[in-house]
Amino acid sequence: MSIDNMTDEVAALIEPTGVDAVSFRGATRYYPKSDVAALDGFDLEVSAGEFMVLVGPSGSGKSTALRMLAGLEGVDAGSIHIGDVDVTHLPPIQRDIAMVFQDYALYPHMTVAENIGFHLKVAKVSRAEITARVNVTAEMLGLTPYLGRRPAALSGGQRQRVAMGRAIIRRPKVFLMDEPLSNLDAKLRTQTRNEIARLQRDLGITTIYVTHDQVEAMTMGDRVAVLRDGALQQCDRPKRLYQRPANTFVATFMGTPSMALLDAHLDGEAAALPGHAPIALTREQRAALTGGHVIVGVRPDAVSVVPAGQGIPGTVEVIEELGNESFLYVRAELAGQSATIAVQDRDGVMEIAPGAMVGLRVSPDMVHLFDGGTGLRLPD
Amino acid sequence: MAVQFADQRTSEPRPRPRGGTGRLRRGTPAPLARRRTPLRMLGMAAVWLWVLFNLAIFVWMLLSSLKSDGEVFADPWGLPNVWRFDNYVRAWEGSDLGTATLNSVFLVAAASVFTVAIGALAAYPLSRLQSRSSNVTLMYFVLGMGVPLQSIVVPAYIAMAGLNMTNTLGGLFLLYVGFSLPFTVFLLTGFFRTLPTRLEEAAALDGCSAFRTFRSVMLPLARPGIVTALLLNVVSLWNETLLALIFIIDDGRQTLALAILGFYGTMLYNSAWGALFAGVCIVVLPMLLLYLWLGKNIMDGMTLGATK
Repeated sequence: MSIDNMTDEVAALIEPTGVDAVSFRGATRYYPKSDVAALDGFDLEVSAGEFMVLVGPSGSGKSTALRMLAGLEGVDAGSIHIGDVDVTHLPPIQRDIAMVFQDYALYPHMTVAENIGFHLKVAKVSRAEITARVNVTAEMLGLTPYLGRRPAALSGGQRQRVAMGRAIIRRPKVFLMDEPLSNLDAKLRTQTRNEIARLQRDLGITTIYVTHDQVEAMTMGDRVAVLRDGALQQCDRPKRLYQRPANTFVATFMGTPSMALLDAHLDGEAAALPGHAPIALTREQRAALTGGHVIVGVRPDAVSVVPAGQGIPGTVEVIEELGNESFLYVRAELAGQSATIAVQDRDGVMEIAPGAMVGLRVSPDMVHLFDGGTGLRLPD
Repeated sequence: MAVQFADQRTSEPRPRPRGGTGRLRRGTPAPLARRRTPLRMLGMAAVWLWVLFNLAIFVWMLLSSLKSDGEVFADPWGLPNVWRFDNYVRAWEGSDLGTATLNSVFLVAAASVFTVAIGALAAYPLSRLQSRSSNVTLMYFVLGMGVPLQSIVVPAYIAMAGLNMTNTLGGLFLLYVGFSLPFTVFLLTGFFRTLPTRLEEAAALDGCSAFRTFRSVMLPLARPGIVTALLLNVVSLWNETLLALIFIIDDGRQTLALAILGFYGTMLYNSAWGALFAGVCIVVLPMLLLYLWLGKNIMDGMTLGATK
């Protein structure tokens, strides 16, 4: 059931009571006995109703940020706000949030119905209202036949939906999701991904979603915040992240296969790649450089294969057949540096075997340029 | 209309496995577990010998309790010629086991429940707090397990005398609770530590106070541990004789173990062996039945399905 075809009465039972913006202001967290900040001066503004994805490798601080917002983790410096309220030191229950855990954290001794309705029971909501709201939530998530079962008797996907139901029934101001799909198999993950995105659109509740999977980040989020080592790297719409990564980390983290990074040096007004035509830099780009080195970022669609002897010389290492497309991983040797460059095999007709010598030609207008010293993107 | 989710589709009936021919064999152990090393064989033999020894003792006791006094020694392993169920009547009436049984049931039940109740209240925070003082407290409880009961009987007697609680069941109750707490706290702390902390976070987000989390989430999850602690306390207190012997004087306040001890003396004098064995059975059988009933409960894996 989607919200559109519910009666007003029924929809009122699950529709959010209000949505709020979330803001992290210099939020910092040190774990006990550690001198390294798990999250360091984190600033992020999430607007009301937005689907924000926090993405990064493990140890990047994304889960810490979410747990700080939930009140499960203390805040050592800075503050966190939900709407106009400074929630930095409020206990979780006063923050009007609901969270879906990676391992779901369902109460094993309670039935599905009891799990979903537990918050309402603790909040002393009348039994009749609990039943009504549990039923509507279960109906929406296709859990009605399982209401009397215990979590142990459910499949992984069903448990995941119970965890969602437990969050939805609360009509919170903010949804928090900590890698909620990582325990599902690949097919179910794709379906549930779309399901969650649809539910979020229907309910319009501000959602903060943590994942290490850049595909989830790209497909689900209104905006994506990329973290690394406890620091925010970039926050933007998924397409902008892909098209204009702010630094080399974001550039290589977003997109599969990864962007290849090639060292070039400034030669007059252009970046000189050994064995390749110089890539011209604008005046602004030259002015932004901190040294004589430029990093040229090349995505698979920005390179094409040419016969050996032309372009950058390389050896095909692996051919990755994905069915609808295929990629060549070419080991390129550029005057002292060697880099693996992924190349999209657009025509799918290249009769190339691993070990073959090829040449690579980079489209200069499709490369990303970064400063060799700081790794920051040069102005376009 | 509810959405049809992928994992919700009704599945086809599972076809018969095609592998192999002939009779289907199920549950073949992994090759590693199947290996029969000499050490394993020796261990198995020892375990089975122990089991048989205990069963034999138990059968001997049960049969003897139904034989005439002379027959107990004349034919220790044979079936009784005449089934003497009246041995039980003789035992029950001969030493006022009725009152002693009531005393024991109430005392053991109250002391065990109370011990486990306050033991759980102590063990849960001790399992969760990481502070130095909580570790010291736990260590204090653990040390209590190492103190031999006999060595503190005299100070305990002086203390109870000061409280005017010698020769009372209330006094024995306090002693039982005090002496049972160290092991109970130790056992339950270990058990609470195995429970996932993630559920406490979920409970906190659901609005539970610390006590509500304990009562509604952790305590039900700890049920196998609670039942185990309860059972172990019941069995050890049911059999406890030393403290009862020292602190209880009046016949009307005897526990069952104490009554059987007195009964043993009388029957020895009368050579009433059948009745003596009947008396022993009256003490042993309730615990055995309790084990049979709750032993399965301990195996219950309550945390299954909590996560993932």
